[in-house]
Amino acid sequence: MALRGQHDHGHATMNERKVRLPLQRFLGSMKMGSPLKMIAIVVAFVWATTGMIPGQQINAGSGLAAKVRDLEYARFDAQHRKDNLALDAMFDNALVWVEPDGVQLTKADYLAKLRKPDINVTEINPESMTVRAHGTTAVVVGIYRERGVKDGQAYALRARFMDTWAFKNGKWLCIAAAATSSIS
Amino acid sequence: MKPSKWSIALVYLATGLVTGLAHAQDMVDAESKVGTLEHLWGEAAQLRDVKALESIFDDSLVYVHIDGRLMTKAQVLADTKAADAVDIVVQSSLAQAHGNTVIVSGVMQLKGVERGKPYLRHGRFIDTWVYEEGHWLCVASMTTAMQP
Repeated sequence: MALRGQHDHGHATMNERKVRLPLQRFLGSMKMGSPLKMIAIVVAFVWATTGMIPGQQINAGSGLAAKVRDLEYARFDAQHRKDNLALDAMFDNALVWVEPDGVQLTKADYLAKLRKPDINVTEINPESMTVRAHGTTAVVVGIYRERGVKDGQAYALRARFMDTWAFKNGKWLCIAAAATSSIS
Repeated sequence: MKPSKWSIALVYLATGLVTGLAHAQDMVDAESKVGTLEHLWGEAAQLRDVKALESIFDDSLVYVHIDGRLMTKAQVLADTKAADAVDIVVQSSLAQAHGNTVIVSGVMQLKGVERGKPYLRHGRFIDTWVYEEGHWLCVASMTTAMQP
């Protein structure tokens, strides 16, 4: 229901119109203050507000690429500053994070790792990125550079990354993020 | 007779519960459907069935190969057609639905021969599936090389 509802915006609107007319006739036929009428009003309200969700998603589509690009820059910046609060707000709780060495981390794992004192990221910047939008989902693919010190050893990385963002509960959240090992 | 506040609240609660349950069922259905498609993808890749792969991938597919190459749908299909036989074993996978999007993450093993030399690679993959025009389509896929 939600899957189709979120996707077929046009069809949902047409169906609502078709069904609302008999509902209005039904409500009109009932006496004022009847329990049935009150219940019908409550059900109609819930139904109508559920139907509003796709509308919100349509609005979210405007300037989507720019919005997601800004979020990506903010994400890299927060990583550099070890700003867990900012990252916590950007990451979905079910985030799937894959490190350049192929290790998979949860949101909590990643945030804990970022705070570790044995890793010091001195530089992390996206070199290029492309955003592809699919309704309420956006896929970002690009290349980033990272320099830092890990366990006392300096390292440098230039890797490809791919992040997936989804519009959930009124905001864009990163639901998946992965990077390759260093590329030339 | 006027309905009590309690009866209105009860109706509201029941409607919310039904909506919530339907939503949860949608999530499970989506994960299950995408899980089946992932399985078909593995089979199609192994059999080099380009036609099947074409219907699984969105036209704007973004694909990052285990070696880091960024590829389009056309490039992936051409690569599959030209490649030598490859044995793909998905060792684990998990699908998570987020509305009309499903993320599948897992570990796979690739075994084959490249330029006459046998290879065995392990990779962690993340696939992004989106429900578009009545179909689930893979819009993005990335595999990161990993140690076994």
